[in-house]
Amino acid sequence: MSEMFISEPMALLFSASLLALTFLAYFAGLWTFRKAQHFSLLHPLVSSCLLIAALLYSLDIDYARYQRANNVFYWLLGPATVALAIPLNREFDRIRALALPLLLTLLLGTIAAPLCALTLASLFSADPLTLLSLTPKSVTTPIALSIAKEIGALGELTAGVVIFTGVVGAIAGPSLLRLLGVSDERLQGFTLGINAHGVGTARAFDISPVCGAFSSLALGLTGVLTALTLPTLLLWLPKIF
Amino acid sequence: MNMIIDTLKGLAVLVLFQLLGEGLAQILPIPVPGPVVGMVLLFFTLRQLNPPDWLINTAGSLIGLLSLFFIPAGVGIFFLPEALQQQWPAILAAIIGGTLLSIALTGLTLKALTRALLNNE
Repeated sequence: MSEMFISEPMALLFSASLLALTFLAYFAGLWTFRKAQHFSLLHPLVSSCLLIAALLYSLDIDYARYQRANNVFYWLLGPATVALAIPLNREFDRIRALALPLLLTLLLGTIAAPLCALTLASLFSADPLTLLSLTPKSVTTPIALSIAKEIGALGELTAGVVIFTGVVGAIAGPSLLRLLGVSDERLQGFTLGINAHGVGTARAFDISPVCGAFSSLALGLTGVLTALTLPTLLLWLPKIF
Repeated sequence: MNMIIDTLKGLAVLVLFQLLGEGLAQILPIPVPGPVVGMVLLFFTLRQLNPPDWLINTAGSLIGLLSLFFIPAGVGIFFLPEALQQQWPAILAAIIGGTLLSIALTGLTLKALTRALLNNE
């Protein structure tokens, strides 16, 4: 009720500060990341999310209020996704040369990602709704949310899980792949896109434009293929788990 | 000034393709988000026409800022409903363990499948 007494200009100023907070946290995070010579645990997405969450908690600001003020970023994700067509087109010949192995790995990935999540979560005796909400975790946020709706999962849990799956993939993915001897940038990019969607793709563009293009391709294909296969896969799962 | 106009032109084209994608996604029988359909439409357009510099530059800057656009959604994981708090160990296991496991699986598979092709380069 108290919001009724807050005058319009004050509310606007508050929204603007919450928006500025995101920018400031991002640029502070980026600066630290560069100073630390791209030490991956200090990825700007991690440090800025932590910083903002800490500030919102300590100043007792509602997350929903923060989210409303920062709607413009959700909106910009649309054109940014469309923009991925440009590197994709530029690197298309390199992609076509590897078409068959890429497609086979994609098929494996769309099944492996939800199965790995389900296996590990059930070791910690997660409840059925949590398990269901974890299954679209490697898919880009907008597709993951529509899948969540379709399979009856909890959308707000899915959204958070998706982002942090991307963060884990972006932080640990490149080092893990190098450790396993997967050193080719094209293969690293494609693997990042399958498992860590847009966040992994942002990381892939840090590595190189070619790496980013392969990640963009995997991001789009994994999303569409998971939307097609996950509901059917879930029908079969009760027989296994 | 020219740079601002170029950026706006680029943004306008990207939003136009997004809108076309949103429209087409309504008709498609599968749940695909509009921006992904828009990306596919722009991709096929670019197979026919070379993209102008202003479009390449705008796309490059937007892609460079992807991490920034994910921040508000990322902050959300620290504000999950209380009913879910006891599920934290399972959620963390799936996010960390599950993701590393599937990265290893897909990465090694892709490496094995491409070995012959890449050796010939």
